[in-house]
Amino acid sequence: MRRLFDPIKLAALGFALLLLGAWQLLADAHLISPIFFPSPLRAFAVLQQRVADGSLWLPLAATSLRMTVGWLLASVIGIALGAAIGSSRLARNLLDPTLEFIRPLPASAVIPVAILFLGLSNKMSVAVIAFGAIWPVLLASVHGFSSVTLELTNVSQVLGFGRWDFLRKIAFPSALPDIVAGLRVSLAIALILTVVTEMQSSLPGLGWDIFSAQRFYRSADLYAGLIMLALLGFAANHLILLLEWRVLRWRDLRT
Amino acid sequence: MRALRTGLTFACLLLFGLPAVAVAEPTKVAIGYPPATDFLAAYVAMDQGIFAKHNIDATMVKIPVVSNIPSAVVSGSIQIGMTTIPVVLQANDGGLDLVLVAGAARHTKEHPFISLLARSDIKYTKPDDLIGKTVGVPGINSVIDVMFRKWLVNNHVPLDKVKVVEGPLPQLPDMLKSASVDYVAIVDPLRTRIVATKTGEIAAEYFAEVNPDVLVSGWLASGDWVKKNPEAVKGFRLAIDEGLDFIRKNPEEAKVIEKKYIGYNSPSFPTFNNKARPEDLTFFLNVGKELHLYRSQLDPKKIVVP
Amino acid sequence: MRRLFLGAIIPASFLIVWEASSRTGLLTLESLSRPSDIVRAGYVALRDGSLLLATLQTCETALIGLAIATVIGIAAGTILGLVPTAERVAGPTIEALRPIPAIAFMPLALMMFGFGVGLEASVVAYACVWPILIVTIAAVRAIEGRLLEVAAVLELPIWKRMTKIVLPAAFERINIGLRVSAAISLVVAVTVEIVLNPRGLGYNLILAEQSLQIGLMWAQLVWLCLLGYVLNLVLSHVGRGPAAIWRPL
Repeated sequence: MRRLFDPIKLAALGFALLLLGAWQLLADAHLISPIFFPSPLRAFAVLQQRVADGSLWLPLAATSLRMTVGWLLASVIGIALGAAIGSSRLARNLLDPTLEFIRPLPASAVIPVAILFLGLSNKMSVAVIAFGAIWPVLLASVHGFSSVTLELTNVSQVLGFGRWDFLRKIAFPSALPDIVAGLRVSLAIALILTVVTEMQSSLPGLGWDIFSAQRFYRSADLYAGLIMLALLGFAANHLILLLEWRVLRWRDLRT
Repeated sequence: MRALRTGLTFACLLLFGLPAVAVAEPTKVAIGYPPATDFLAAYVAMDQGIFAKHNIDATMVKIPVVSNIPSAVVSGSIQIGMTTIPVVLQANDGGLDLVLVAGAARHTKEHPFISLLARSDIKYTKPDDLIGKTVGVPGINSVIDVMFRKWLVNNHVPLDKVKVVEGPLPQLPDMLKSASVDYVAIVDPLRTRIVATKTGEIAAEYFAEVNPDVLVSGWLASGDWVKKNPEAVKGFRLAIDEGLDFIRKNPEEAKVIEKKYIGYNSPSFPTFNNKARPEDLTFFLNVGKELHLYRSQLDPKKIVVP
Repeated sequence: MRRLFLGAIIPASFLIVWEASSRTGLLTLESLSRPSDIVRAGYVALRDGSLLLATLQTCETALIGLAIATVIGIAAGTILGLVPTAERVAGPTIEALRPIPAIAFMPLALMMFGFGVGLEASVVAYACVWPILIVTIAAVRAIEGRLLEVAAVLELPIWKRMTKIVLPAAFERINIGLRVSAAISLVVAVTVEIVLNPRGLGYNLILAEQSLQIGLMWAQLVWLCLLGYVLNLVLSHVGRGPAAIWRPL
């Protein structure tokens, strides 16, 4: 029976407020110029202004959309590649070295190359996001697909499943918990990369707002943007948790 | 034998060490600059030991992302930094106490180095051709961008009908070639390179059209530092004046120094000028007012160090 | 041997196509150097020591940031893992702070530290602390209740409880978090250098770009990939060794 005033939730809120209070005190102490370190009051004031005049929603929508599309692209390719590598030794030998080699590239290094081929467009941003966000879901998928238990593989053989059926009906569901965990991490990375690409390529969105604020020394605007990012990330993470819970419900019943 | 050597060493130390005590400690000055030819006088001053002569212990810090330089100065990472005029105005508008200690280069009608280029397949005839097109600039609100928008205003082209995008400077030529942008407003050496590789042609000398003789770049420092180190400021100015002198007398050697410090040679030297006056800022203040760039009232006399 | 050959097929064909198309004029973008030019530039950079120096600088700051993140992450993670209420109280705040990209704090770090190691290490630490924290909490929570009971029965002091019981049991899981953070540390360090800090591989990268030495820029990118590849290889082997030592009763 959930009580309306759950003390734990209140304590959590209190903890957050405590940190905000600490921020306020630090800002008021003027150890660092307010041009670079604003107080939370100023940052929230900007946020309130943006909600009031409606200028918040467009950048928020743009960033969310880019992040989602990039993440979906990374997920589809990641799961597909993961299925291939996880279930076929040939695929693993062919692809693994190349993938391991390009993985360490930071987005900031990849963006100039992407701009070259895709221009300063949403396509470029989505491509870079997908490139960076694919790794957690890929690694998780590889792990998931290659850990299909012997029993399940035997079942598949007994039922006479071909490769495709095996992957779809046996391997994929078996790998699902790993995959979903990977998806969650990928989403977090996708958000960060969305912001980074927006900063480096003047595409409208939260990242660009933050970058402009930095350029014009408007620290309150900058931190308002960071707060928005925090909230967006928080919301996205919870949505995925919900998805995870729905998708893996059948698993819990078994165990 | 050894005693003699020790004795001689000791004597030398005494002889040469003593005068050093009489002179003041040289001021440590870290100088931040991007790879650009405008600042050749400073490279020369560093290379030829001229800074040391004027009691400045200088270190040159190459900073490729020029928008970082004002913050770097405020944080104390560098004492003197490169700037273009709109940047120092913008910093002051944002509340930073940054002042102009010297100039670096002027852009003149006779020796332009910033122009508007069109892709080779675009036949540009008049400013109105830009309506509906995309123009690439190395930085939004950079001096290149600000002057370009002023040029559009001067030619009655509506600003909202021309799309201005920011691209990394070294990639602008390729962005032009691959049609990500139709025009670029760009500086040498890429300006000359685009024409030489037939990727594009000079469409308009827009910069010179807006102002036939204007101070484009210079050196900034924090107002506080300038107040506390008047000797260093004087020394810096004398050093770059001497550097300029050297460039005039030894252009070939200057080119070698240029390559050493920025990695390439510009097709030609810009019009160097180390003097910065309040009038140089007034022009950009007026442009900024027209383009609604600044939020506060700025006094050029307070921003230029006399 | 066969594995090596198969693995090399994709990169080799890619390089051949690249070299061929730029030699035959199919590929004429200036920002794309030929593989042969890139190799040449890379060789020069290795010989004159600039590449090695930059690598040392980057690794230095990445390591310091990672170390800071590890200490904070494991300490906080252990506490939050052992005290579930604390984790539920701090949890939402952690989930809100985590999505903020570490590089957004660069202007602040610049004002606090100026150019140099402090700036970079602090940003790296912020980025790296979250995976370690989260994994440590999960690892500590998964420790069998019996082990903790044993510790209570033996009336071990807190720090002994941590070093003899909690940490060894949690090590393998924490190790995974460390590997993730290690990769992040390199990426974030290089990013800070590209955008702001004038030292290290990222700085050299953007310098090469701005000085129009594109071959050198590509060589440095390739070097960066090699570095990350080697790092990952080393880490995946290191993880296996110490785990044997730490394996509990």
